[in-house]
Amino acid sequence: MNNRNTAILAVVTFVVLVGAIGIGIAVSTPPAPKQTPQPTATQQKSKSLSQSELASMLIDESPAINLALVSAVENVGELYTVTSEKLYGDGKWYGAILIYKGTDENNRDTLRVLMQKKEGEWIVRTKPPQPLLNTVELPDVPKTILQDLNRPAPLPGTATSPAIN
Amino acid sequence: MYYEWYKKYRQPILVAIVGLAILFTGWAIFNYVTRIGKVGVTISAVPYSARVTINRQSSGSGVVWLTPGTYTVKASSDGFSSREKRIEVTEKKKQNVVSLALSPQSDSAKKWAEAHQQDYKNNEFYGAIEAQENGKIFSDKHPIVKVLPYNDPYFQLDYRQDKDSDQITLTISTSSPRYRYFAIQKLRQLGYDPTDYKIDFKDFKNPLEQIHE
Repeated sequence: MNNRNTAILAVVTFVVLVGAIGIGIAVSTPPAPKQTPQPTATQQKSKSLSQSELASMLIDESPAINLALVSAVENVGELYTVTSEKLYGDGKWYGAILIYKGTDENNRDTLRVLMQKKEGEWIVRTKPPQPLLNTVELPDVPKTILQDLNRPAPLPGTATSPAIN
Repeated sequence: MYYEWYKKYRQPILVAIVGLAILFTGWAIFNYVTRIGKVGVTISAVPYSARVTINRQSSGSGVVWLTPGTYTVKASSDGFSSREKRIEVTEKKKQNVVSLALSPQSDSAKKWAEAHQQDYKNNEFYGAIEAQENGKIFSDKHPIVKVLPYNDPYFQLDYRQDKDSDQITLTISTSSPRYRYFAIQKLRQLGYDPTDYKIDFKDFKNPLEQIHE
C-alpha cells in the first residue's frame, strides 16, 4: 500500500473516531427530572439565643402566643393543659406539650404543638397539634426542636386507668 | 487462481478490511461514549408492540441506557389499559428492570391476550426481578422495615408505603393511649428516632381534629 492510501486511511480513521465521539456526546437519553430542592433547616439558620434569653423572651411573647394558639385551635384550653412551653433558636420557634384533661379516656394522648413567628405574627404549624412531630411533614423545622418536643411526656390517667388502657 | 485474484484486488480488499475495522471501532467507541455514566434498564412490556415512553419521550421495549435518577415509564397499546410506573434507576441495583403487562380491554385485545399467555408468563419473570431489586433498595433506604411488623400482645407497629413514592409511614395500631405510648417507646428501643418518621396512630381520634374538619 502506498503512502497516499495510508494517508487516506488515517484521515478516514480520524474522521470516524471524532464523529463517533461527537455523536456520542451530543446524543442524550431522556433527562432525569430535576429535583426540587426541599427547604431545609439550614436555610432557616440564624443566631441562637441562650436559654435565659429565650426564657425571658417567652414571658414577653406569651400573651401573643396564647392568643394565636387559642384562636387557631379553639378547644385547646378546655381539653388540654399547656406545659413545657419553650422558645427555640432565635426565638422564632415555640413548642409546648399538651396534656389532656378532658373526659375521652380512649384519646387522652399527649400532644405536641409547634408555632412559628412569621412577619411578627405567631402561626400554628401543627394544625391540629399531634402526638408526635416529624421531619417528613416539617422539613424546614430544625430537627433538634422536633426531637425536644417529642421527648417522652406523661400520659394522664395511666396510674388510675385499667392496664389495658 | 485465488492468489492471482487476490493480487489483482489486494488494495481494495485491504482498504475494505481496514474500513470495516474502523467502522467497528467507531461503533464501539460510540456505544462506550454514549453510555458513560448511564445504567442499562431492561423494559419488558406486553404486548411487545406497546408504545413505551420514558418521561414522555418515546423509547420502546428492550434495553435503554439512562442516567441514574427517577423516571416515569408508561406503556400503552390500542385496546389495552395503559400502565405507568415511577422507577428509580440506580447503579445500586444489580439489574434495573421494568415490567409492564397491559390488561386487555377490547374484545380483540382479549383474544390477543388469550393467544399470547406465554408472553405474559415471560413478563412475570421480569416482574419478579423488578420486585426483588426494588425490595432490596427499599429495605436499604428504610432499614426499619426489616424489623417490622412488630407484634406486641397489645399493639402492632407496622409501616405502609406512601402512594406514588418510596417514602413510608409507620402505623401504630392499638385503641389504648397507654400502648400507643409504649409503642413509641418500643420504636426508640429498637434504635429508631420517631422524629424521622411520619406516624399514623390508626385508632387515635385527635380531640382537636374536628375543629378543623
